[in-house]
Amino acid sequence: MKTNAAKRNKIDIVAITPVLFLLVLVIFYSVSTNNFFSITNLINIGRQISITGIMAIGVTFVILLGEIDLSLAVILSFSGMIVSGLSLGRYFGMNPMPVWLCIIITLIIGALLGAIAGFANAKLRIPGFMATLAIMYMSKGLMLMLTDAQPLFGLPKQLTYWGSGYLFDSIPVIIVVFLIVFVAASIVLKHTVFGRNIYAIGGNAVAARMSGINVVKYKIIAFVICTTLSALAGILMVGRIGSGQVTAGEGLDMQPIAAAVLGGTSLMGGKGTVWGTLLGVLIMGVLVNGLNMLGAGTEVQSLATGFVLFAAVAFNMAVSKKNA
Amino acid sequence: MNYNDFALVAKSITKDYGANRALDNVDLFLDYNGVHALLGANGAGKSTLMKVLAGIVNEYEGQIYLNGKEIKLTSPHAAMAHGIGMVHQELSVLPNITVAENVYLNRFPKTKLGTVDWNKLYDDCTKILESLGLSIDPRMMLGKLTVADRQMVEIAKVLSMNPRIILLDEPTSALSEMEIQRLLELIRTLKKNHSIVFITHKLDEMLAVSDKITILRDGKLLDTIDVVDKTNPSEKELVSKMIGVSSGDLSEMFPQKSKETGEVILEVEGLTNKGVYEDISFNVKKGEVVVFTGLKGAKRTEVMRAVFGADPFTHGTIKVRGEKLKTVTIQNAVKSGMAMVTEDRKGEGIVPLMMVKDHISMSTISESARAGFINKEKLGEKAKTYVDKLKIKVHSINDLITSLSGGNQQKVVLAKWLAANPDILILDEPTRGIDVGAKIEIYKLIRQVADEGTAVLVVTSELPEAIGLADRLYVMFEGKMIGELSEKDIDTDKIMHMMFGQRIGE
Ligand SMILES: Nc1ncnc2c1ncn2[C@@H]1O[C@H](COP(=O)(O)OP(=O)(O)OP(=O)(O)O)[C@@H](O)[C@H]1O
Ligand SMILES: [Mg+2]
Repeated sequence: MKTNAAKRNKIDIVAITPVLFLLVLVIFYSVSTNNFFSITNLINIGRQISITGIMAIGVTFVILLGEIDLSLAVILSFSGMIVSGLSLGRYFGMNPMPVWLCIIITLIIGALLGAIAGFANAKLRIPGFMATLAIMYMSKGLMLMLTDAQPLFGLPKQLTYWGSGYLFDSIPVIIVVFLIVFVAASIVLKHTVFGRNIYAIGGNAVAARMSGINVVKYKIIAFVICTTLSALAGILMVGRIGSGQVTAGEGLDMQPIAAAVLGGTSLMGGKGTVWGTLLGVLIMGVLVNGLNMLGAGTEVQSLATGFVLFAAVAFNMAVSKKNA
Repeated sequence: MNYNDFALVAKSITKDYGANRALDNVDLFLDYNGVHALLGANGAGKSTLMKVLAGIVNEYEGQIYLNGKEIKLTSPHAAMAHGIGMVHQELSVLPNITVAENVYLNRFPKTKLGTVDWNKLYDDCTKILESLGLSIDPRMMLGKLTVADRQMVEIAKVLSMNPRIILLDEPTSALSEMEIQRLLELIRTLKKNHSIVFITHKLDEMLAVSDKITILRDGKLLDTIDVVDKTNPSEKELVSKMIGVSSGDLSEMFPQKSKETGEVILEVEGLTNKGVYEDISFNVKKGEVVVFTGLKGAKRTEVMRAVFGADPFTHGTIKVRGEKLKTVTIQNAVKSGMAMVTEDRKGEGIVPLMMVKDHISMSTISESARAGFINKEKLGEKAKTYVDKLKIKVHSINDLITSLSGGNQQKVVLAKWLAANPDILILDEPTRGIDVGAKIEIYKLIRQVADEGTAVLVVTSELPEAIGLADRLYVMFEGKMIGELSEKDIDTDKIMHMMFGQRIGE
């Protein structure tokens, strides 16, 4: 009995603290501003965090392996340009394609980029940091060649629907997509063989290999999941800003990674959850949104985000050290 | 008692891990010179007590007196400053730097300019290695050494700090017979002017060098006995004290060998990895326990790793059930029914952040899943079955593997592969760090899986174990196959000769 109680307490501190912190933030903003705790603003926050959230969930898979993906933001921009251009028939003298086909092609290209990075990492043993940095530069190059850095306007409604449309005239589609990705990812990580093997590999790749786990295959799949979700985020982004922009991903390179780590995912691999990542994304989103409502500028928002990251990770380290 | 009469006194030490009491009011009195052995089953608290003395575990109740004065051991650094050095049960040396850097980590000799004096570093290291009778190149990357050599480097590292009190936590478990003798010799020399605490599960070693033996059971101090000579106290007496029931005759440690074996299931022909091992051929039959023995450096582990697909080889064929394996990878080996428990538990066996139940199903997780989705109940049941079967000491199957004692971690790694019901089970030093009681259980288990038709390959450097287990025995020496002995030909002298490279009949 005592064991259970002791265990529960231990787990609680780690899991509950981010939730408490989020609650404190929400209460503070609700009291100190007029409009923070309104349906409109809450939905607004949801829309703001969906894109980072989807990327953060993707990169969680890679971080769980003890690797990192630096190509997220560029893949987002690149996919946005691909999907926009294809739907308008701008490339290689092709005719405009149906939107569903454009989306599928874009996701496949996103997946391919991840497969290359994963192959480079798992098979050629290039550190994920370098492999994805290379992919990042290549994607950027290809994107600029393809588009001449020109924005694309006049996109079909069916395309922008995913980023700016509403379900039943009230629920933003983008939030629904985010939630679906979240639920799917948490099921995959928690309840499937694939998910458990990701944790095993991240915890000790040699032991996993010696247990007969196909480490190369799982690593590649993890990178594919990560970049495909970035491509999906790119498609949603096009809808949110209403045009294809080569600069769409600016400022999003590190944000998803920060959110995942804020949510307790260890950069050393083997430890973390999507639920934690969701909390990380929410904390960062709410923090910035509330500051905005208080009239604070980007400089204050940036400073505050930095402080929160610092404190949260220091806290996580202190707790895990104590439990060790 | 006057605490001044002792080099170190640990008084009423109690240590809790959550609700789990690892040490319960334990006293330990270390003489100024001599060897004090600690005896106890896996999980009895031996390592925990050492870690308290080494300043690694620093939240505990009780007092520690050094030369009669109470001291506080708040960190490994503080312990070292008081002249207490510890050789860990799990290897703690770093693979990616040289041997010399490991030995003198953080204490490098400096030149006048303040840079590292590499020449002196290597010279000093060579000296200390030589004093241990080792011919290891201090410039070598540590990761290139065998587990046994790494263990010796770890000992060299501690000795280089000139400690007064030396704590040795199972230093012999990774060593082969000859190295053990050398280490015991070294301990005999050191004990003349050092106070040594020595943990081992091998009673003959313990009786050979110790002056006193303290027995722990379930975290409690049971008794401290003076060692009169090699046979007093007797091994039997020690075992019964340690396990708590009077154990049967120790000669019945090994179960009956099998009378019948089936057809050949694994056949290896001319396996060669240029410069490592050459022309290795052997086979294993269903239901047979085949032992590979030899000195360290015989490359037995390397051969087994190649057969299991973990490392490449240059020539040779591996046939399973008469069919040649085309591409030898771990996945293919596992598919063909092979399993392998590796010798380096920390590096290759366990995933520190994972729970016991996840470890047990690590190789067989698909069996507890449908269409990729895991059935939690099934997974838990399987874990429970093996925890019971192997008598693994855990509080729950959700315990982190790192919270188990060394011997119990080894059992979990074994359970992982037993769960796979392999046709061919390769065990590389399977009883390393396992207590006598548990050893007997593991021998029984090995025989049981063999009787169920599994072909078992055991690599071991312990002669009694080799002889007690083998239906057939191969001896290797420096990468070559020296010979094969069938059950009726197995005898200690013959094996000893072969271990040093003499072919029988020569
Ligand atoms: N970090 C830890 N967290 C929780 N429990 C622990 C931890 N370390 C050890 N224990 C528990 O303390 C008890 C004593 O462990 P210890 O490692 O001292 O055993 P030991 O006598 O050295 O065994 P072995 O012969 O197997 O090495 C065990 O029940 C073990 O599970
Ligand atoms: Mg121990």
